[in-house]
Amino acid sequence: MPDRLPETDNEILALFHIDRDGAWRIIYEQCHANAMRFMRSHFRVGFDKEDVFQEACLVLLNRMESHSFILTCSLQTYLNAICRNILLKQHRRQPINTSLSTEFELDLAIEVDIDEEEYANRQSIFLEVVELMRTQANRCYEIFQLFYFREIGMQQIADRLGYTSAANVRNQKYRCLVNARREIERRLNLNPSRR
Amino acid sequence: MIYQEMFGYLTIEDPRERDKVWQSLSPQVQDYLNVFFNMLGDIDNPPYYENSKFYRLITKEEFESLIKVFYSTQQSQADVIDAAFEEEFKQAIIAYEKKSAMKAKMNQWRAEMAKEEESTPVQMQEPIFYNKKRMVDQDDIAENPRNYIPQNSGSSSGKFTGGCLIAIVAGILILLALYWGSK
Repeated sequence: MPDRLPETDNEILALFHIDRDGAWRIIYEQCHANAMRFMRSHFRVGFDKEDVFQEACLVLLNRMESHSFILTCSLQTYLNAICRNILLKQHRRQPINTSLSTEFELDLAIEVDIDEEEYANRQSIFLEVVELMRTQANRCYEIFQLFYFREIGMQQIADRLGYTSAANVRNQKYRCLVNARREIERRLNLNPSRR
Repeated sequence: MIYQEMFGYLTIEDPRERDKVWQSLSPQVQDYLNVFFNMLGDIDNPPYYENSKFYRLITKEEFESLIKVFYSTQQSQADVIDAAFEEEFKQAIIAYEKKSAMKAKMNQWRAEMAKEEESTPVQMQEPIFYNKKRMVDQDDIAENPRNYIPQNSGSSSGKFTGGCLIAIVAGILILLALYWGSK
């Protein structure tokens, strides 16, 4: 971290390429309060706004990693716009009982679209199913986490999770994959636009 | 030995895993497995231990156990998971894990921010300013009833009527004085 904390957006962007986490934390801390106020002013109740803000941060980070990323407004405005889009998408999917001001739909002249490929796409359904598996009592999520993410071998997984053999873990993993695919296909059929 | 290898192979539910394991089996076991599959696929002749090539090679209980495991795994083999799907799912798991780690980080920052806000000392001037403001506000509230005269209240209209009477009487007196003066 430099001696002086970056103040302008350009300084933060420059820092991002040197110290990703440092820049990210500054963005989080500087933009948090304003974004939360912005969201609360339009949706007083409903939605996990902290979660929405974090999602927006992840979208912003994802974009900042791209070399073609050009900031055409302040980081705060950009984040607020992403928050707005996420809220609107969530509101369309699960409408909450509130009057939505038209200005919320129309304000912020800056064009920041989270297009279908980025947010409501096929991958988001995969992520939803992973989240679902995490909450289930079976050990599918643990097996997937250990095997795919931590790249641990089947025998070690068997030892760790108390299976009698690696073959049993393989079978369990296969069954879990079959279930996951069924659930993913069911959701894709419900929402053909998200294919 | 043959029974164990055949049994181990038949318990594998994932068809792609089976293909991998098949390559590692000895040709002899592969032959026996092929015979076993042909035997089960022959609908006209149900498998009988005594008539089969497995007679005396394995026990009858082992033979039945192979048939049982074959049918139990066949059910799940109806759903074939292709490599493309598995790769996509693997990427989703990795993305989910990374996202969870990032969110955990942000939650930690949030907690630290909340702690900092709590521990920030309150400036000495602030309550004074607040009190002064409040005093001013209270004064305004206190003064308002005194200064504020409702336009259409009963008391104001009574005063107005009294004032009119006095003015009329005074006017009459002035007129009388002028009249008597002119005489």
